[in-house]
Amino acid sequence: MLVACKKVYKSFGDQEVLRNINLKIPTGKIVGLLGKNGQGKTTLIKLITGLLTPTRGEVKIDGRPIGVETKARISYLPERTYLDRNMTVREVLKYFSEFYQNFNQPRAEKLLKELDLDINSKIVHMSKGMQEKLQLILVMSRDAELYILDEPLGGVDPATREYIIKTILANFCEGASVLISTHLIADVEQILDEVIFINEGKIVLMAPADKLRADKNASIDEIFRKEFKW
Amino acid sequence: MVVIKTKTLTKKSSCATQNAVAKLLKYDLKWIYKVLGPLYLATLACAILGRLLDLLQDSFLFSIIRTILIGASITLMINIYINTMARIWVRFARNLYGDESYLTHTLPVSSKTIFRAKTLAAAIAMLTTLAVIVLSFIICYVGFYNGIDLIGFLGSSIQVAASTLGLPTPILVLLLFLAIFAQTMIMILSGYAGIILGHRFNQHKTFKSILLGIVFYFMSQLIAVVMLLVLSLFAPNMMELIVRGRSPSFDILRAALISITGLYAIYTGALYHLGQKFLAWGVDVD
Repeated sequence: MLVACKKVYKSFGDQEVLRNINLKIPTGKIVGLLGKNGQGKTTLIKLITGLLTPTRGEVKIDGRPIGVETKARISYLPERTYLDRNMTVREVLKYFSEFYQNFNQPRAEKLLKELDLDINSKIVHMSKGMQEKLQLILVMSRDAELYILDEPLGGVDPATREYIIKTILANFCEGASVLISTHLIADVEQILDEVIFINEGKIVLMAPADKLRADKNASIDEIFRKEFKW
Repeated sequence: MVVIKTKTLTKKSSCATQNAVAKLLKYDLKWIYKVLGPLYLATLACAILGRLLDLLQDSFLFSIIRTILIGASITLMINIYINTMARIWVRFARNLYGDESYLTHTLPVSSKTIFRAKTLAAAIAMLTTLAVIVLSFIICYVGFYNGIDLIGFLGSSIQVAASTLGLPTPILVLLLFLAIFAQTMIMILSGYAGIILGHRFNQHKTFKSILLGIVFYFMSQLIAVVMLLVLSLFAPNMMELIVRGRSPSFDILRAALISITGLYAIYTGALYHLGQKFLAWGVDVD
């Protein structure tokens, strides 16, 4: 198993955000982490990437606890823009190639050209949408074993959503797994191999996407809406 | 054979860590010097121009400009000291707990390496700042300025102090420098420890970070005072200094100076290890 969470709990003060999370993500699968806003999707992702420390339980990547080795294997796209705004695109590429041995610079440059993005432009002069696209390019230019994309479709127009999904599918490393967290299920459901429904900090359903569709005779989006009355 | 393999692995891992420290250090220093660089130049430029005007023929206008330039240089000296410290803390907080933390904590680098790079960046930036301050001060006041040879006076005072304490002058200068530098590093590392612990709380993180930083700093001063009191138990005339303000023997003063400098150095090391440990507990990024 690539990702294994065992009896994971996360609290912030008195507030328990995640409860008894038991999760296994196999290699080579595209997994959808689905749930409404504020149900614990981002918290779970942050635990896997090492941005949060579990209150109880353990998170392991390929049998190893979160650390330097697991971080080298995970390519993570957070919800927010995290780049140093004073850097140029060229400097950011250099930064990534210096720190990540699996960063594929020619792929990044190719994707930048496709987007018509000037390599010499400063991040501070780019719109938020462009910064998000640049981050997606950086993340998908790594030959990682696990890609974690937190709400990659949030707040973008349908054309951009299509571009994002196309970029993800065209660039993720063969044999790698992709964990996509989203509440916009209709846009991603066709590419998902497995789905995980999360509600009120608990995993309420985990199943192969095709099996779920066949069993319930409905699309994932419809099942989700029915399940959570959304 | 197994031993050799283990040694090779340890060496490789140590090389990788050094490499990562160097990379992180490069980006930290670049960020810090981006603002401080021009300020260093401005400080030195004001000092040099002020002195150049001093060498030119005396006139009322030149005298006013010279006073303004020397004043500006002094103000800039204070500014770069405060600015360096502020930028070091801001960089630390932003990189470890701001938006940029999403990148910092997902880099394939251990928390110990991150902390080491941040501490090294702080030490290098502070050394540069202190060097610029000393150099600008010397430029401002070397020779006679307004009829006073301030640098000469300071130099002879240090010489008198060194011979009175029975120490070679370079050793006394080194001890004083070490005490000032260690004191500065204690302030920076107290800030680091405060930021790390303050961000472990769920609310009022910034306020708690500042509060804890101040607590760590005052603890160092308290320990220094306690140490002096302990020393005074073995030296009655040291007790006279503390209780009645009377001057103790020079032997005691020398011992106190060396002990305090040593203590500051030990406390700096202790704060460094404490900070590394706190960070190794893990982070909770908002």
